[in-house]
Parts: sequence; structure tokens; C-alpha cells
Amino acid sequence: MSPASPSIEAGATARGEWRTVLRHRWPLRLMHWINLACMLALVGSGLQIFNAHAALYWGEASDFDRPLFATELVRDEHGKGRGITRIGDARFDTTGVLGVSARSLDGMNVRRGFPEWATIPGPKSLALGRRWHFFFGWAWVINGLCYLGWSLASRHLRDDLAMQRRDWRGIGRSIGDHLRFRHPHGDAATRYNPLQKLAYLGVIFVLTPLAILTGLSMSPQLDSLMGGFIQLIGGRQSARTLHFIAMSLFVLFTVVHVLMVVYAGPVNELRSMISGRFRVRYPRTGEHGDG
Amino acid sequence: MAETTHPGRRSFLRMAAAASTGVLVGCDALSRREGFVDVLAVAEPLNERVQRLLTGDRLVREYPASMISPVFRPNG
Repeated sequence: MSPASPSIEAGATARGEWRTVLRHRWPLRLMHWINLACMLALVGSGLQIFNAHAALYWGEASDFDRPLFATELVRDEHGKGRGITRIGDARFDTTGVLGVSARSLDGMNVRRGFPEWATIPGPKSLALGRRWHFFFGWAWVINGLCYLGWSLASRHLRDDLAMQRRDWRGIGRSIGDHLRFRHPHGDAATRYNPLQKLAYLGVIFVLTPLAILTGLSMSPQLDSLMGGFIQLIGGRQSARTLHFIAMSLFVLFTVVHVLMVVYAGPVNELRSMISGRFRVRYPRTGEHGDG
Repeated sequence: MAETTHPGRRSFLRMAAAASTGVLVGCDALSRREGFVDVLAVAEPLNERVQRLLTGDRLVREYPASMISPVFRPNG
């Protein structure tokens, strides 16, 4: 992606001129979709694994009476099961979603951390969840390494993602544009904006290593290699909690990412990630332009 | 080429919701296929080999007996 991308098509409408440019190169598009498939499988299977013991702790050991986060079944005075989610000392009734949810087999409400529609596979199966998780974990890491290698070799990282001086200066304006739901036109629309760059760099260089390291920290065999890191973060239960937090941040990033796609024009954005072709509008003089 | 409109956004969200549901249903169906589960299992020996390669014969950290929980609930 580059402002210097040559136009594939060009034309004019009542709202100004437009050009179609090649926004994303094919390796990037391919790795983006592989990444999405891996992330879906990792989140779904990760929640299946979490359901085997639906509570998180901090430190070396599990203090069953004081979880940081837990979903559990609590019976009310009529003996009816309610799904209760605990975050620290706070308790929320989350029946139907967390703690207690319907089983697809017979529609009966059963004790479950996350519901069947959020886990892979849907029905309870720790063994299958682990197989999905480790297989797609490898696929995700290999895809990530390919992305990193390609980004360095093609200068995508340096030219498109690295924060330039003008990006640092433009953060305030970018925040203002996002708050006012103004999205860039013209050449600015062909570049990542500063907030977008910071989000992508955060995911690539902070969130991804955190997810991988905390995931590895849960392996008893790797504990012998990563003892220092595990001590640094407070213990294996802390690693499990941080792994869950990293997953939650990935989900949050994805939700915001999809909302931004919807807001910026889903047809154009989606097409640019499938065929690479992105339509840029150059507004008439006087209209809001480069953002 | 038509300009992007709000119905386009609504269709996109509908498509995304339908695709997510399709993916989850598809994953369940795949989980029931023995051949696919065998493919997933390829990762297990890979894990073991890489772990052995990284750790060699190193032993994991040992904990004192005082850290054993007096009550240990089974998983699930």
C-alpha cells in the first residue's frame, strides 16, 4: 500500500474524481485471511479449553475461593441453576451466556463456562479443543513468521507501518477525525492513519508475543526453559490469566477493526482485501479532503 | 461503480454474522470427521519434538509439598 500506487482505473462523479489503486499486495491479502481463520479457530478452541476449568487466578497456584474471574453455577432458593460470573468480588447473573447455557443436543440448560456457540467444537470436549488449538497455533505462528519476513523484505513494515514523524504529529488530528466519524479521502485514504498504525504495531509486536509466550508458559515441559519469564509474570496461573486477557484484546481489536471497515465503506474495504483494488475518492475543492 | 451506501453496511454485518455462524457449524461438522481430526493431531508430535529440541533433558521447577492444595477439584 502506498500513496504512489499507480491508478488502475479513474473517473469522475458529481461528488468528485475517483481512482482505483492496488492497495494491498497478494501475499498480504492471503496472510490476512489465513490469520483470520487461525484466530477464529484459536479463540473458539481456547474457550473450549478454558471451559474445562472456567476460572482464572493470579500467582503460582489456584486459590479456588478467590478467583480473579470465574463462571459458575449457583442454585437459587427454588433449586434452579443460575449462571454467575465473578470478576474479583463482583457477581453478575449471566444465565444463558456464561456459567449456565443451553446444550444443543436437547436444549437443556447445563453448567458451562462459555456457551456452545462460542466454542470449537461446540459440545464439551477438552481433547478435541486442544487438538484444534495446537494445530491452528502452529499455523498462526508460521503465518505470522511469513508475514514478518515478507513485511521486512518488501519494506511494508518500514514504508507502511512504521510511525513517521508526521504520524506522531498527526495523532491528535486522527483522534479528532475518528471521534467526528470523518474518514480520509484522496491520497490519505491509501495510507494507514496514525491510530491504525499504532493498533497494528501493538497487535504485531506486543499482543502477539504476549499471547505466544503466555501460551508456552502453560506447558509443563517448557517451564524448565521459561522459569525466569514465569517468575517475572507471577506464576503459571498468571500466565493463564494473561493468555486469556491477550485473547480478549485480540477479540476487541477484531471488533473495532470490523466496525472501522463498516464505517469506512465495507464493499470497498472488503474488495481491497480480496482483489487488492481500492477505490479512492478525491473530493471537490472546499470539501473535507486529506484526513 | 456505485458509491458505498448504508444498506451496504447492513448487508456486510448480516454477511459477517452469517459467515461466523457458518464457520462454527462447519467446525463442529469437521470435528466429527475422523480424517480431519487425524490432520489436527499432526500438531501433537510436532509440539513434543520442538519441546524436546528446546528443553533437552532439563527438568521442570520443583515445588515444596506445602504448596499442594488440600482440596483439588477435578476439572470440568
